[in-house]
Amino acid sequence: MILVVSSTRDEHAMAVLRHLARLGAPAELLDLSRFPKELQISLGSDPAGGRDTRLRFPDSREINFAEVRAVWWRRPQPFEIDPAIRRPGHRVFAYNESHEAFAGLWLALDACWVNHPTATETSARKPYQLRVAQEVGLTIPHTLITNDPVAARAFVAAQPGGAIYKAFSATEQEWRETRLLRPEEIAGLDNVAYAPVIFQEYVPAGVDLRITVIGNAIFPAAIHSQETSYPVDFRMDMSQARVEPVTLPAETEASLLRLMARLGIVYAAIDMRRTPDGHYVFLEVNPAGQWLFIEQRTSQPITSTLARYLSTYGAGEN
Amino acid sequence: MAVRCRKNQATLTAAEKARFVAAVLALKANGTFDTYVADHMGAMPNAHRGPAFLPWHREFLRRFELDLQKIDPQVTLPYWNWTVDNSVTSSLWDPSFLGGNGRPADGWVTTGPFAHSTGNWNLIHDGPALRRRFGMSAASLPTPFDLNLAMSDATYDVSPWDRFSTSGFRNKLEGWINGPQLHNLVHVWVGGSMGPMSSPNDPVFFLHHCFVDKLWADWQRMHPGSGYLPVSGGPAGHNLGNAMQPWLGRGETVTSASLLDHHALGYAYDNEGICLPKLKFGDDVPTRKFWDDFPTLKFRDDIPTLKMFDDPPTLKFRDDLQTIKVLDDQPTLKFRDETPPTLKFRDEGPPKIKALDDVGGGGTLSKAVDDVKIPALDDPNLGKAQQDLVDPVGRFGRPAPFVLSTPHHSMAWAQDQPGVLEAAAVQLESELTQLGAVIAEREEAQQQGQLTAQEVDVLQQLRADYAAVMVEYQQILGGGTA
Repeated sequence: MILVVSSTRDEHAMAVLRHLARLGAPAELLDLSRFPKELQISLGSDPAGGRDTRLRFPDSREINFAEVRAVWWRRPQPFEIDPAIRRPGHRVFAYNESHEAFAGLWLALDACWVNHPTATETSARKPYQLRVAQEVGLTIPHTLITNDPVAARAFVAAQPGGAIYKAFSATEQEWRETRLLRPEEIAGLDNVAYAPVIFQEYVPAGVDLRITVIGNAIFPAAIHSQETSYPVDFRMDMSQARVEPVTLPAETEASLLRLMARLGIVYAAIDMRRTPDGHYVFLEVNPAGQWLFIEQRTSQPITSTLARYLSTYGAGEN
Repeated sequence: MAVRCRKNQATLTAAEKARFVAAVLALKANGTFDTYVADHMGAMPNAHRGPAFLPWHREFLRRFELDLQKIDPQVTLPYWNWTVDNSVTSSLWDPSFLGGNGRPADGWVTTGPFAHSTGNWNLIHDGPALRRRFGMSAASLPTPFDLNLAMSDATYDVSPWDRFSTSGFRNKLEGWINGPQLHNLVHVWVGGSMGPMSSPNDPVFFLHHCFVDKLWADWQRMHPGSGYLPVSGGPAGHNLGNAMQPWLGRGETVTSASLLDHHALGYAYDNEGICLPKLKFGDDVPTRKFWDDFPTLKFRDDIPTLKMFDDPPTLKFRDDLQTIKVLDDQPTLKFRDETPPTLKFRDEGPPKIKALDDVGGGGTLSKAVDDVKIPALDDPNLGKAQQDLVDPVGRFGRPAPFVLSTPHHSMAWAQDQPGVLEAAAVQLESELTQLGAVIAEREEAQQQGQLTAQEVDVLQQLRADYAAVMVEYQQILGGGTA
């Protein structure tokens, strides 16, 4: 069976689950925020080599992990500790113990992963991505990650076409678009001392490319960000952006598949940029990236491809 | 008296708009409405071109609102944020609400409930028909940037305390400096009936001035150490304790001093964390997010480093302590306990008070507002705080990560993500509330001489933080200036 570790609030998870149901593939949604209050886990190991790992739902339904052939690690939720436990130290303890049990379970599980939790984490690391991307033959922008104001100023000054800066993460709590550094902001660069910032040469865009990869299937989409109100970061003005399916040069596709293999992931949303003179530049890879906003506009069959991928690996018997 | 919530007109439901319009029409029909037009026409020296501009109109609007509530107790004054709803096609001007622009020939408004042809809106002064001339005498409405120039001025008003005052929040907001600006500019942009002293003829007058009043309330929260000026030495009627006309002539004493705390008057604005229903944004949660970096459960969180050893109890204990800090984040908790929420506008019953306290320290907001009455003008650091506040970028020169210290370059995404935007606004409001409370507490301590030099520096920093968060908050409310 297929295990989807996500939540009902994740519409990507729900879209794939609907497809799996259509395919008749047995699938179960596991929302870890229901643990440990509503769900009960048991991991049994005996000296003879037997293992019995089960998760029980409140209605007595069970997941027997021996039957789990494929796992989609789709933005799992944090555990929610029973509010009856009030002391903060006790809550942290309960959280950490829950985490330990599941982290070990995932490592001990023989299944096809999209994507393995460890690979999800490591492949999201930006300096690591850049290095691997370069090693598989992709062009990357000149980059400096630093909290040294002097180095930042020197880097910025050395970029004839201007420099962008961005944060490692853009969350809803502190969302920040990628920005072209403005002259009046140079005075504020002393503040990089408080936290490292990613500076990159500004890569002029012909178009932005959002490339969704599932196994060997590649879905490149061109996002005409230059026609929107904010050409620096296509995410800002998606509602205005023209999006269309495109094809990539064979060598770029080959590099991307090597990138996936090196990162140890089978799903990724990759951001690249095609410059006005036709060069392809790698920007970043998102191992848990979104695709529905692309699929809606391009009709590329991404959801169904992922569902088929999971059912191919997940539907088999032991 | 229960505190009532004044909302942004753009967020009103169709039913709320209809009730407001119906109440206004009822006041017009029973003759009350035109007494307001007359009072405003007679109020030039007392109500305009001086420090009393803001308190006079606060009283004027409050009386009008109470009269509306005699017709329909559910109605409150909506405000019009003209930095956002700044076009001739804004929903404000829909036929179902205020009606639209005037016709080209003579400016008569021909759509909506206040068109002359309805027979319900005959003007006694400057009549007979309501007129509007959008954009004819001024190309555009004020921008968030314009607004910030006024909001960031930490001094309420300066000598000569009239339209020639060259700085100060009041004259910047009223709009006489390099005018017409802000308040005056909005009158000019709408044009027609909004031009002369009979401008309350156009119901949009009340939505416009309601926003001006809200800006004053925002400013008071933003500059908790700045009070009304002048106490004395200003033009007649404009000093803190002067009774204002026309109410004095009718035997009522209304002073600026009595109008500084709008909560005490029985209302609040929907950005204050007090109007709880407004803070529930669950309705329009965005359906398509494309944040790829959102924080997921990290596989390797909290890996204990001392695997091989039995956890030494001391280490564990220390870990727990640190976590307590992180989880509870309670420098304010103590303060909150010390300040029981006993304010007069909170007579809506215990459950509400409980809920108020749950909204990110909302229970302390009233304290910050109360302290507005105590100007800390002898604070030697205030001048420097002002420098920080007028910094157009807002966050430089204070410790914040670089990426968070610079303003957004684009907010275009926000148009697709109303839920996220509103959630961010709520979070910022909560931060402002907490900061305002802490600042108020420390200013009180400072006045009693209890702060060390180092703590004064911290207070200084808190003020800069407050101003910076306010800049970001305004940017979010503005919905898209970069």
